[in-house]
Amino acid sequence: MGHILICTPFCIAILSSAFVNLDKSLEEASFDLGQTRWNTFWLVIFPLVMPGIIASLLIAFTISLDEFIIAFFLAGTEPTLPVYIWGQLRFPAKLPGLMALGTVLLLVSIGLLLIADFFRRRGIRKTGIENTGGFL
Amino acid sequence: MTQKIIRLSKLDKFYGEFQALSQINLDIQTGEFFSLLGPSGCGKTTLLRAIAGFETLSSGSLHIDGVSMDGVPANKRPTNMVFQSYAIFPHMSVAENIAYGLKARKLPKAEIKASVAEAINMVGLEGFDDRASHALSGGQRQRVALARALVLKPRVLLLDEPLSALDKKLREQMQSELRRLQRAVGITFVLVTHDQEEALTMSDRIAVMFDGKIEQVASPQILYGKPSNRKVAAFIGMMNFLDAKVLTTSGDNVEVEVQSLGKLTLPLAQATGGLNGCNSVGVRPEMLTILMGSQTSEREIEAEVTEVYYYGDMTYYDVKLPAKEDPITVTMRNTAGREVLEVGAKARVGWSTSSLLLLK
Repeated sequence: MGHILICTPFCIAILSSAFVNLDKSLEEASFDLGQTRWNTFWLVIFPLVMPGIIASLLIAFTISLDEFIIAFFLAGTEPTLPVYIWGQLRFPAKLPGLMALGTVLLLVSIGLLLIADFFRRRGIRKTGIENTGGFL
Repeated sequence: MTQKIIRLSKLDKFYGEFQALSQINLDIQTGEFFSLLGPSGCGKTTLLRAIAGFETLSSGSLHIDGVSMDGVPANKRPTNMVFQSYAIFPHMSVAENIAYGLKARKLPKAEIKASVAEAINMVGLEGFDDRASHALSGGQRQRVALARALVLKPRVLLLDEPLSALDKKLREQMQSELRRLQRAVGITFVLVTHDQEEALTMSDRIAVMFDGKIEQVASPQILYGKPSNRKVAAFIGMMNFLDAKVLTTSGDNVEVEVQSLGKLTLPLAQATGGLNGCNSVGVRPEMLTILMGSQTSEREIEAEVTEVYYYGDMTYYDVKLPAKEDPITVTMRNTAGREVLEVGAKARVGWSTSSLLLLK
């Protein structure tokens, strides 16, 4: 879907910072200590970039959840939540329910972004590297 | 029994056009503390990484323990490395870090536990087992890195400038500790450093490297006392150079014309790198003395003090000799009764022919 297109840059930004911050000598040290390349990835690299992966997943999910314009144009018979809300706006009687739904959507989005950044920061702290930017 | 644990022969390494190592021939003996010393960019780290298996050789051969390392990856070599950044795994505790290599060997749990405890004891980190590795100081991280490598009982331990990130006091403490550790475990240590003092105090033998070539391999005493050329002489400690011209040789002696000092006859043995191409004479600052009152010396020369550096226990003088533009340095121990001269004072510099080295 179109959402993959707009989410990819965000994911790349977060993931690449997670990988770039990783000290190459960690990988070499593991290899030097007799570990195989495959196990080095699972035992050293994956745990260290894990927070980055979680953060990027959460942000991608949030963006996809809230996005309206692309979803509006591309959606077929199964509208996303924002498109559904927009569609229901024609019926004044449903307004209070929609207001509530909109509020929930907003709160969930903010919540997810906060959790994502928490993971990103925790990852940075764990690897002991200086915090270089971020989304929040 | 002196056996060669590492044999490098005709080793070359190119990065594109740039030649990082050229024609390296080197033997390292079993159980010795060996240092690779040189300025940054001289190829010493590349050589160490080649031994570890992180760099492939462009040509030449590398044998460890008599076995060719051609095509043997780093994780199958009998070497372990202590990285400059220590490369402690940040998501593991101290004990987990040290156990990492043992787990890779799939040893039984009880054996791993015993070895880790022993290694922790050896580097003096008792009680730190469960400490998160990002909560360690520089010196402690260094110890973890050492323990992590030594616990595998490698044939050779490679150390890539392990002390450069520590402050001066801690560095000196770790120097003697490394030396003690090496004697205790009897494993061959190969240390890379740009700090000549570090190399001199710790090593059994040192290889001095410049621009990808090994200039001299010798014990610290020989390296300091009989450097084979001007480059090595200038890099190890301080050295004063005077222009010289070889006139004639007769038997075991050579006659030279030296700037400021005049015509001299020196034994051939003082041309430490051979007589070919010799164009200067080197003399260590501590081999010169500033004569006081009625003191005399084998030879002496009038000079003028141009600069004084007072260090408490020592005074460094820059003195200008007649017929030499740049001043030379004389270091004097500040013993009782010795006065410190002032800039501009006339000084009698005492020297002897036996302290001169004929260098190219």
